[in-house]
Amino acid sequence: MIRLLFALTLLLSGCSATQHSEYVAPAPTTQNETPLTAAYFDQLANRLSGQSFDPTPLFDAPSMAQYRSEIRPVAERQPEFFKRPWDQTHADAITHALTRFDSYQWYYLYQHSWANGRYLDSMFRLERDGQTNFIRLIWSTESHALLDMHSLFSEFSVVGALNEFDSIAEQDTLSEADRLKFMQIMGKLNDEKLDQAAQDFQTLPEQLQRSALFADRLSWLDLDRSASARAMLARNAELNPEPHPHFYTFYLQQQDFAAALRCLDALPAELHDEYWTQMEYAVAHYQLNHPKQANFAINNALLREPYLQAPYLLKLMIALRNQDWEGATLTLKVLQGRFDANFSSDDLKTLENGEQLIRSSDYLSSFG
Amino acid sequence: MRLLLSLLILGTALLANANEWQQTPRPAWVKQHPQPEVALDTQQSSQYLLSDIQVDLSQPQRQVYNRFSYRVNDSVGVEEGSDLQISFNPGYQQLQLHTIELIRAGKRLNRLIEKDIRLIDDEADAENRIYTGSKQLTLFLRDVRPGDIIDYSYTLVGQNPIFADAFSYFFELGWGVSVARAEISVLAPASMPLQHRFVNLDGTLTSTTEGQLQRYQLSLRDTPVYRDEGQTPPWALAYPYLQMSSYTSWQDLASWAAQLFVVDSQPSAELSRWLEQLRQLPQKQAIEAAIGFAQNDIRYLGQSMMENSHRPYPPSTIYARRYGDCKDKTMLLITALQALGIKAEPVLVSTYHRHTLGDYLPAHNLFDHVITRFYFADQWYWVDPTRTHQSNRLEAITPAYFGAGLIAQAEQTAPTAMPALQADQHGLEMRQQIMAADYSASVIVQIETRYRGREADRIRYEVAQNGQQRMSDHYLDYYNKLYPGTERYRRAQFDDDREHNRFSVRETYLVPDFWHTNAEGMAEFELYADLIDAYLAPPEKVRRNQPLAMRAPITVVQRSELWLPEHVNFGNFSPTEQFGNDYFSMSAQVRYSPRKLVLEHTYRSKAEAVPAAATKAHIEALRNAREHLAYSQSISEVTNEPAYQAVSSLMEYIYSQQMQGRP
Repeated sequence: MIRLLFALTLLLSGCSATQHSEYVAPAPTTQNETPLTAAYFDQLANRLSGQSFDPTPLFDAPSMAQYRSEIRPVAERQPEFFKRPWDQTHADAITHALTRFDSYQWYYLYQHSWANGRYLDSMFRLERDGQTNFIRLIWSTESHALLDMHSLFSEFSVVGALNEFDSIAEQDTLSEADRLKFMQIMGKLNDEKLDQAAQDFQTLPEQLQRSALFADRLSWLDLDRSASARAMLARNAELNPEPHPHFYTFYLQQQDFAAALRCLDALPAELHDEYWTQMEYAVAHYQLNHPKQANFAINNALLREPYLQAPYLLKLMIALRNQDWEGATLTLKVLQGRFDANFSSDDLKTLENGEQLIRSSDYLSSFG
Repeated sequence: MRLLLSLLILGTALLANANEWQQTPRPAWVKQHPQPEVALDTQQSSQYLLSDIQVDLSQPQRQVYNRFSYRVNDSVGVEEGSDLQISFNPGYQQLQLHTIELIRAGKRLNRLIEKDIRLIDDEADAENRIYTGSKQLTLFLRDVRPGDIIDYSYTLVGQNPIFADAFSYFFELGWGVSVARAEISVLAPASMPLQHRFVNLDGTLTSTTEGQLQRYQLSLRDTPVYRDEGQTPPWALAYPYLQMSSYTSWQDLASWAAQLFVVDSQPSAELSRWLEQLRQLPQKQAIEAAIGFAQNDIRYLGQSMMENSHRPYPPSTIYARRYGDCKDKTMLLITALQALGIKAEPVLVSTYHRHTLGDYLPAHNLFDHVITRFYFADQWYWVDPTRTHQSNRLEAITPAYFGAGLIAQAEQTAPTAMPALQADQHGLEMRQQIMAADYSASVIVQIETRYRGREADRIRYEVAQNGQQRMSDHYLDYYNKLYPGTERYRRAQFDDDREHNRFSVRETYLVPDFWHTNAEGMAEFELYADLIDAYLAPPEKVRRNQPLAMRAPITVVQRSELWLPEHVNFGNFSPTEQFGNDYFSMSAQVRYSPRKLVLEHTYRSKAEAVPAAATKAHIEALRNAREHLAYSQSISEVTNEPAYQAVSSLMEYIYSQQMQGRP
């Protein structure tokens, strides 16, 4: 889960007075949409945004078994997942994963098929309290069954993670002690015993320290609060130099904005235009002192979310850095009119290039 | 000396002409028909008096006699009727001119004046890069005046040797004007029985014995006026015909076709090397490589002279030249596939008669195209090697579809139906995202159109032909007609997934006048399914006696998503509405999910044509569906917001910055 790390605007957020009104999902319509169409996924997004969504009717055991076998052939794995039937584990894992996004607002974005049309991905944006995630639901185009779920900020999908976990547990090239330790660390991470987990993590062989399961799991934590979590992620990132969105919060926390940008770039191209992505680009470019790029990104973000205050505040700061007095003045007028956020001359003087702004003809013609 | 040289040159030219056309008396075997007396009708610019076509198959060389006689009544008639054009192929035909006369006040004035005659190339298919060696004799009649009757006759002697003695002919029996008298006569040896069939006419062909000859004859008076109503499927002929053929069966014809593709020469070293390279590949990959080579590396060019009008060149020649027409490409592809151990055969098809081939007599002139059929992995594949820009994967290549075809194998006894294309495999899906940042400023419109199947082939070819820049400009022009003032916001992107035969185009525009604020301070907008509109257009001629062609098979989805600046309560929407009949279906839906209002239409063709009797109801169904292409709505109290004007100004400012592109 990614938080909007926007320290700069937080400094100014005291000026905020109005809130973007919350959307209340309408009651699901009674019309049954054709499965796997855009209308179907729009309807599903509404249902997922509502209370207590039960995915069970969307499951189909044979389709799910077929899907699992494509990820990893049946012959290569144990008939059960830690003494639980795979079918049950698979269904429970997706159900459980979905419950983590209860009370999120789901927005259907787009779909595309793969594996010669046998599978279909439907992409959703999820939002809650300023937090955003991108979730891919994977479907059988034949049975229309829900097969898997994948947060784009993780390497593994739900089934992929189960499979990875299972394959590590059964990997003969690793010692039984190391495999056991790996499982225990995962347990400790789940129990948020991060210091203990970090101690054990140091003694793991490099092959296991590299596992993307760590980055997937650790990226959900509040890294500001745990040096142990940061240490584990640092080692994992060191062993995995390829950028991946699951390292994004880590690099932000490390203030390595160039690396954070590379992680954003690793998101699917279709998500680059999303508000959240553009906002993050804007922040990272601003921090890297790329004001032109930051302006391009914040403009995109504003066009997509014109009722949130944060992008206007960042727009103001970026405009000031770019010495774009017209842009800054127009932004101040919206902040005043829409959010009742008034900036005095003294407030503005505390900002970068603020003094020049208040002397500019653009500013004076509106506020002078 | 100079004069002598000129005379020599002139003499040579006359000699050359003499080999191609001559002035001769009317052949003795021709029956002379009197020109009918027709009362002057000043309502018509021209009046056609006589059309007389007589064929003699008993001569050592086939002869086709033609005589036409018409009166030009006014200046328009003079304008349109005074230039004579006669096409023939000097490669195997000689043109004999008998008379070219004007009849004025009962007097015959000779207009067969040698120096008025021009012989020009007549490559009617040159734009398709097909060259046949045909010529056109043209004669611009001098001193033609309203009231004159133009009367001319000629005979074409000889026939393309590729057909040997076979005879196959479509006689026209009706035109866009009435003809007072139309005569058809075919004289054939008794040993050459002819079959005949009338198309679009209940006629009677008389047959009489004249010694060792059989004469088939048809005489028509005051033929009705026929009109092509347009937008008809290619197989629905607007005019009546008499088809005559000497082929006794489809098998007879298939045997003739089969021998055209027999190769009696050894492959060149160059061709052998290529075949060997193919054999080194896995079989499926080799098939794909062979198809790709025939389609894309052999440029389309037909040297269809003489026998090569129907007989392909040897594969080695085609391979060396790197050009050929449909039969050449098929010849090369079949050679390659057979070298790979694949059963492959040519299939004669008609781009006009398509699935109605079986309604006609077996005849070589039914066909105008050849494709390839082969058997691989328990499945027949139908491939058109003249199609370029298709997928490079066997499973994604759009199958050739012409309704039916005659497989060029001696044992074939009838045309074979080809597997029909399915509408859900071929089509396009357009997603328009309209991003509104407020209720008065411009909106960004992102359009992504995904093409698949046959439509992907089409757009890929179109983009290759025109170039991306021209296509982008064309799209921008289109949206400017729809939304005046539209500007390009981002450069169009063209993405080709040839492996899966998909093609997508992404365009982004800035549309200035999407919102209209009314006097009550409400922001009005309209969404319109312009893409679907194109498929629901009623025909130009709505009162029809002829079938109506459909753009099929195709599925078209247009989804317009209006992303609003905030949540708006629109209330409830009607369920999806369904429209259509046996020939098309359309669904229309308006729905809402957070901040997103969606207007979605799906159009699906169900048939290739609407029968004439059903067109009236069909056009009514189209009109009904068309009434549901638009959705308009208004959002209240938008001007009450204190920042209404400030937001609009900022958004326009932001657009102006973004238009400069990514830094």
